[in-house]
This record gives sequence, C-alpha cells and structure tokens, in this order.
Amino acid sequence: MGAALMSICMLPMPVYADSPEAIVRQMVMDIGRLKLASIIILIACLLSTRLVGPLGRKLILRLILGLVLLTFFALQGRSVLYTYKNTGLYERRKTMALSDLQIVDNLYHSRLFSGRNVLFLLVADYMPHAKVFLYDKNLYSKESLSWSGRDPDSTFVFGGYQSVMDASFKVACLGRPHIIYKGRLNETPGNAALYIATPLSIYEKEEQVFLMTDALMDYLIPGSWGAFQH
Amino acid sequence: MLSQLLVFVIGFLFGNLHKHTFDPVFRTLIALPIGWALFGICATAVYSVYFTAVSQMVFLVVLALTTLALLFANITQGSLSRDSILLGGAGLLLLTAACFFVNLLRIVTMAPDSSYLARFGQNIGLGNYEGSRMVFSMWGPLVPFMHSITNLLDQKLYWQYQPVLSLNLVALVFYTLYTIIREQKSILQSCVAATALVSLMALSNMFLFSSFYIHTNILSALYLYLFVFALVKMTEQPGTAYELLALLSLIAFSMLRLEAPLLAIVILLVARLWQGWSYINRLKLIVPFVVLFVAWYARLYFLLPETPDLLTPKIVIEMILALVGFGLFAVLSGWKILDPIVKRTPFVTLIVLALLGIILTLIKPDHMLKSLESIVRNILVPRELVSGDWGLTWYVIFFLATELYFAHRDAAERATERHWMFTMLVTYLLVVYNLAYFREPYHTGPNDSSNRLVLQALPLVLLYLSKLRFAHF
Repeated sequence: MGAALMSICMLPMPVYADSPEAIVRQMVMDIGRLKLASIIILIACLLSTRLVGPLGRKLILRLILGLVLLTFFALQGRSVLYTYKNTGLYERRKTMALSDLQIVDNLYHSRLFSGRNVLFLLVADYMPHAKVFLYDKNLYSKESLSWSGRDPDSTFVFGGYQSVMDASFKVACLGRPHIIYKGRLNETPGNAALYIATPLSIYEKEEQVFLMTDALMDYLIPGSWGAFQH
Repeated sequence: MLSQLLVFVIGFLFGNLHKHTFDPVFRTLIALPIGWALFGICATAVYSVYFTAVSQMVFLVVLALTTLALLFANITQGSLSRDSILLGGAGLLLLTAACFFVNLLRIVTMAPDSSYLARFGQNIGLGNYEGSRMVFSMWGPLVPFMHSITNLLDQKLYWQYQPVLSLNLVALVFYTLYTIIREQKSILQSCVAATALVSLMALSNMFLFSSFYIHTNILSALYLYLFVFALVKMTEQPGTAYELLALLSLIAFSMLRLEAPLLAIVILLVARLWQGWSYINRLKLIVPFVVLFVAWYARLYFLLPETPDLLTPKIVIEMILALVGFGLFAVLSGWKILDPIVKRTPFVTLIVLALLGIILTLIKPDHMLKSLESIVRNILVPRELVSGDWGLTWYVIFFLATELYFAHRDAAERATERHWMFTMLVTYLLVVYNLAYFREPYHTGPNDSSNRLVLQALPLVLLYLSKLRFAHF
C-alpha cells in the first residue's frame, strides 16, 4: 500500500526533473516534503497492531491515531496558513461588484465575459442609464446584448460615430488610469482586448459611452472625454 | 442578510411542524437549507409558468403565502410553543451573528462560473428572459434563483449566502456525526471524534476555497448529505418528518447541477428503499421528484437558448426519458413478478455501472484513462495547484476507513445500512467516472469537475465512517 501511494505521488515527477539524478534528488525531496515516509511507517505500525493482544492494540491504535491526526492538523494548518498569507485567495475584498472582481481584482477570466465581452458586466454594474455606442452590428450576438440585464434596444446604438482611434487621442487615453482587459483568444477567436478607464465608477455618470477601435484592441471611451462625430 | 433571515424562518416553521421527530439543535441546523429548498421550489414554479419583470413580485407573494401557511399550520397543530419561539429566536440571532461575521471577512473566491451564476441570475430577477436563459444550460436553477433576489436588495453581488451555508454544513455534519458516535461513546469522546472527522473536511484547502466560492459545490454537498442522512433516519424513525426532509433535500440537490438528477436516481436505486420500505412510502418519495423534474425539463426544452452551453435539447429529452424510466420502475416495483429484480436493485445498479465504465473505457481508452488518472491525482497528490488541493485529507480518511473497517469486521456485524452506504459511495464514484465519457476529460486542479463532485461526496464519506464501529479506539 505504501509503495502504491508513493508511486501515485511520484507520477508528476518527470514534469519537474529531466535527468535521472534530478529525478532521484527530486524524489528524496518530495518524500521528505510530503511526509510519505511517515505515512508508510504509520501504515506499517497499524498493520503490526494486528499481531498484538487487544489491550496493547487499543493503546497502540490510540497512539497512532493521535500521531496521524497531529500530523494532519500540523500540515493542513500550515498549508492553509501559507495560502492565506502568500496568495490572494482569501483576501478581504474592497468591493463586491462583479465587474470589479473580474476586471480590477482579476479574480477569474470567464469565457463568455472575456476581452471586449466584459462590457456586459460593466453595463450592468456601472452604466445604469448610458447609451453604449458600438461600431459594428455583428460584434456581439443578438442574445449576448441582453446579458447586461438592460433592454438591448434602448441601451446599444450601432454606428453613427467616428469609431477609429486617432493617434493623439490614443496617447491621451493611454496616459489616463486604465486597465487593458484581455480576451481568451484560444476559446473565442477574434475577441479583442478592451481598454477600460479606471476607476470603473467613471462610467457611472456618463450618458454616452463609445466603443472605439484601432488595429490592436477596442477602447471603451466615456462620452465626456472627447467630441465624436455623430 | 434579511433574505437569509426570512429563508431561515420559512425553514424553521417547516421543521417545527415535526418537532417531535427532529431534536431542537437539528431543527435549527436544517432550517436554512430547508428554507432555501422551499425558496427554490417556489421560484421554479413561478418562473416556469410566468417569466416577466412582474414574476419576482409574484414569487414574493408565493413565498409570503408559503410562510403564512406554515405559520398557520404551526398554530393549528400547536407546534408553536414558547420553547419553539425561543429556539427560533436563538437561531435567528445565531444566523445574524454568522452573517455579520462573514460580512467582516468579506472573502469571495471566484472562477469563471461564478460570474455566469451571478450575472445571469441577476437577470432572472429583472425578468430578462433572453438575458438569463443561458444559465439554465449550465446549471440547475437553484443558485441562479438565489442570485435573482439581488435586484430587490440593491446589491451588485450576492455572496454572503455561500459562507453562511458553508458554516451551516460544517455545523450540521458535526452535530449529526456527534449524535451517531454518541450511541457508542461518551460525550467527550464523541465530541473529539466528530471534531476530528469534520476537521478532515474543513481543513482542506479545497473545502475552504469552496466555502467562499460562488458556485453550487457546497450547496450540493449540503443537500446530498441531508438527503442521505434522511434516508438513513427514515428506516430508524419512520414517519413523515424524515420522508419530507428526504424529498425536499432530493429536490433541492437535483435543482443544483445538471447531472444531479442522475446521481439522485442512482442513490435511490442503491438505497435500501427497495427492501426495507413499503411500496407506498417509496412512491411518496419518488413520484413527486419524477413529476417535478419531468415538468421542469419539459419547460427547459423551450427555455434553452439557440446556442446552449452544456445542456442541449437532445440531453433534455434523454434526461426526461431517464426520469420517466425510473418513475415507471418505481411504480412497477410493487408488481410481484418484478420482485427478484427489485430485491437485487442495488447489486444490479452497481454491476451495470461497473460494466458501463469498462465499455466506455474500451470505446474511448485515452479519454477515460486520462480522466481516471486525474481523479486519482486530484485526490492523492497533496501538491497545490496541480492537484485537487486536498492535502493529506484523503490519506487520513483511508487510514481511518481501513482501521474502522477491520474493527467492524472483527465485531462480526453485518449492518445493512453500512453496506448500502458503502455501495452508494462506490456507485457515486462510478457515475462520476462514467460521466467523463460525455464531456471533455477531467483534468487536475481544484476547479476540475470531478474534484467538485468528490467534494460533494466527502460529507457522506464522513457519515459512513461515523456509522462504523468506534469501540476499538
């Protein structure tokens, strides 16, 4: 059983080590790290209790169980503490808006709301009244336009403005605080990255928001930033 | 928080109707899950019939009427005694404290799925049919319906329910394990044993992550646990209390994930119902479940978007056929000619699933073996990020199971209950493995589907362990 456990745990070894020496070195380190040796010893002890009398057996069993649980609590406690201290997983969130968690905290990167498709989250959270101008009717599917929760017919307007970013305006926009939210191109080809102005609350009071583009990505520009040719 | 308090009241009033069967602590612990289950059933009924901006108001009226009906039933039955009111008040205070505690923590863990559940769920509350129906091709309706109430609460993201229900699950598992072990050991020993067992679950990074994770994982674990626990108790304490608890948990569990009704069917096939339960009682559990879900899937057929995610119209029809087939089997199980098959249902189910697993592996060997390797590595490789993030949890469980099994064997006991629970766990794993055939292979990592399904079954493993013989320790 010990050998089986060890083999299973050693399965990912070739990923980390490429030469026989490295594999042996890595194995020794991993055995120490995973405390496999102690687990195997415990299993051996457990099996040996089958050979002693009932009273002695009960005592040994309790000792082994105590040792197992102590090892478990120590290692799991350390692991949880490490995750808490060294990763952002259990961080206290400053905001609980879905778009902040996705865009600012970058907690996850969903397929349907990646790149320029994150627009629907932004519209839901930060554009309660704004009309959103899109440069192409085929940019989003008809159904996805209703994902923001707002009525797509009264929210989205197609064309009727100068949608190509000119160089000087682009420089000005990139000079302001922003986030460039990338798309999951492997799953949604053609989904460009999206320039989003920060803080996201900047969009809240806008009456018009424009989706603009250059050769590289799309830009979500608040209407108050500049004059557009309507 | 207010919505959780209302849900708690509904659940508590329901549990209080059976105060002679459910002890006070258990009644308080099941109040929130039962409340959410009733909430989900009411929401499904309303939105299945009427899906517009007004639906939320209609739904609230239905919920209010349900509360009033339960209150009336409590008064007429004389269940609403001074003790019950005090207990309910204490439960509400505890829940308020739990809500404040999680509010202070403000921890949310997320994955892509979380955004779909939340965003599309919010659209349901707005009555936005087009904007929400995608979610029904991804998961069952319960969690999206929970998110649908955010529009009423003026919240952008409803997240508190998740850690609160996680705390509820930990408390419920602890208390139920304690009561079971208490039959063999002293109060202190039972407390220590229940704490150790619950720690095996609660101290894994996978469980902690899921405790704050906006998804269906913890809720599935909670309802699956309640369902199986109620099945166990039904044979010990016959009566409507555990029957209704089993039915509500079964429905709520099946309303969480797309594959959940299949898992529920398999558990019901393996459970001892076929031998130890009367034909009528069997039908009282199975027929409402089948009728409700056939109706829901029939509605889903017309609700799905043009480009659905996982659930296609073809799969909807297959699910309906599976449910109808199971329902027919349950109805015909009273027929004497079928007796030999009915008596062997658990065994036949196990063999069929094992054979199916072998056949599916032979058809797609690479696909299935890769999935199997991922399942094993997720459970056993205690390395973060490239595995299921379980740490040493499963090693200690295997260690305990081995010793408890020997102790049980030495005691020469042959409890059918333990036997069916073990069979159920094996069949559950077989279903998880077989499901890999119908999707992309399972992969390694905490967010893998198989890992989530294993998480759902973990409380049941602990329940099984607590049912074994502790006398040798």
